[in-house]
Amino acid sequence: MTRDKRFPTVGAALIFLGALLFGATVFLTSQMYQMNIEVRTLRFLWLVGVLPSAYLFRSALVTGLSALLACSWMAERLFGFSFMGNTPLIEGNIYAMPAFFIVAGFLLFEVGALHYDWPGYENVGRMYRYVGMKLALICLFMLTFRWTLAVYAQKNVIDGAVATKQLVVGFALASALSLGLSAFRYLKRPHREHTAFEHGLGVLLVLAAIAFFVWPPQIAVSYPAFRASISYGIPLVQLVYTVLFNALLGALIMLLFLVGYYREDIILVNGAVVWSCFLIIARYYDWFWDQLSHSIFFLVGGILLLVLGIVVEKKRRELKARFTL
Amino acid sequence: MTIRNHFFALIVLWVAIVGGLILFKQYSVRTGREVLLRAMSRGTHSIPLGVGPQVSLRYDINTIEEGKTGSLSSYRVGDRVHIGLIEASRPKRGRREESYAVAASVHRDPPRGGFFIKGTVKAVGDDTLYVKYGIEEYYPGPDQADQQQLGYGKELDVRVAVDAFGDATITSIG
Repeated sequence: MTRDKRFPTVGAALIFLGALLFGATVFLTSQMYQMNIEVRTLRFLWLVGVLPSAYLFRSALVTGLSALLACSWMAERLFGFSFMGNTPLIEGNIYAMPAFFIVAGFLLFEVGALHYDWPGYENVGRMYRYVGMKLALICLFMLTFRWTLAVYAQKNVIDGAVATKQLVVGFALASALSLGLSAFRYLKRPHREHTAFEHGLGVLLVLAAIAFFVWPPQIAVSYPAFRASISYGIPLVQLVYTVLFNALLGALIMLLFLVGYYREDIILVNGAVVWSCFLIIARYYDWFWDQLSHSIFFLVGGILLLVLGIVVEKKRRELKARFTL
Repeated sequence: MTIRNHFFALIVLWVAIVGGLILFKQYSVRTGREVLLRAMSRGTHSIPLGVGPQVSLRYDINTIEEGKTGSLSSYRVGDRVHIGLIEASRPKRGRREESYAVAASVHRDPPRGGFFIKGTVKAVGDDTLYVKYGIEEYYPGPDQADQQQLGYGKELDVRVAVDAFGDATITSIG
């Protein structure tokens, strides 16, 4: 149906349904035959089955499914637990999850970018980039909260524990691959518009994730130089990470706006608008919840959001009209 | 290769994956040695992407005691272990010709010449280990969904096929 173009949307939906049903078949077969196989192994078999179909049918939906399966399998393999299984997370590894997913997201983004040189597979590449970008944005967003970093420091989740070898090796491999791919693409086309910003920001993201992995807040606090508390009442190291991740998220949102504007892609612009709203609302809550009386908090917040909504909608409408012309 | 050939290759791959899973499990069942294990039901529950409720089982051999199997102090959570099994003198209820298999020894590597089941250490106590073998969940099938028979606390006799590598598969339960 997709190839002869009579019903391309229905065809694409049926292909995606087929991929989902294959996964269901793998899980059901394992249940019916009482198989002693870990859930992550079944998920890997599902990935092995659907990945070729993503390329065979050039299906963006199946590509997205493959990307999510690959990320979940990588996470389960490295962190030694099982989604939907009953194997608990290795306690010493939990702090590294957001950092790992930032790197994994960037790796997926770069893998997606490679597909743009392969005629006919641009939508496959675009889906990889979309999933990678979303993954990195969500994890980066989590790390922008002061209380997230404070929880890490207070709970001492890795006190006395060391990250497992498989996590360290996996994290290092993913970082090396993502940086290598980024360097390769930059050297291939250094003069493409906003290339320097895109690659530079990606490299900074990976380096920040590596820094967070090697020196998480609770370890960094043990270094005398970072023990100084400041008048805000939070340790310096948490402030450094908070500012760093907020700056990176802000820069990423700006990149989305920039690329969306130059490519006249309203989807990117919409994404940037949504994430800037999340960031603004989250920072407003994060900074002012304790400092304002709650009624004033909601009153002022409501007015600000209303004004913001009017401005954003007006700007978005102008951009959309300009792109359509 | 045309798109049609690619499509057929994909179908072959899918059949190979599912068929391979079935063959892998049937190998254990056909070539394995069948033993009887004593278990207790921990109730039924549903699982995502499942066809029906599963029964959780707790076997006598899940708990390994130091006195009977030698020192357990060197084992940690996550360790792969091989539990040597012997058919004990305690006969199955009402049937003297069958006996339950019990844990006799604990090994890190597969013991040579012995009959063993492969498991993973999930918890370590002062002088006990809690080991799981991958047979702690059972799908009874639509014909056996009798909640009273498999309800919480019921004692069950579980037939398990254990192959040469120590992998176990439940063949029947009752």
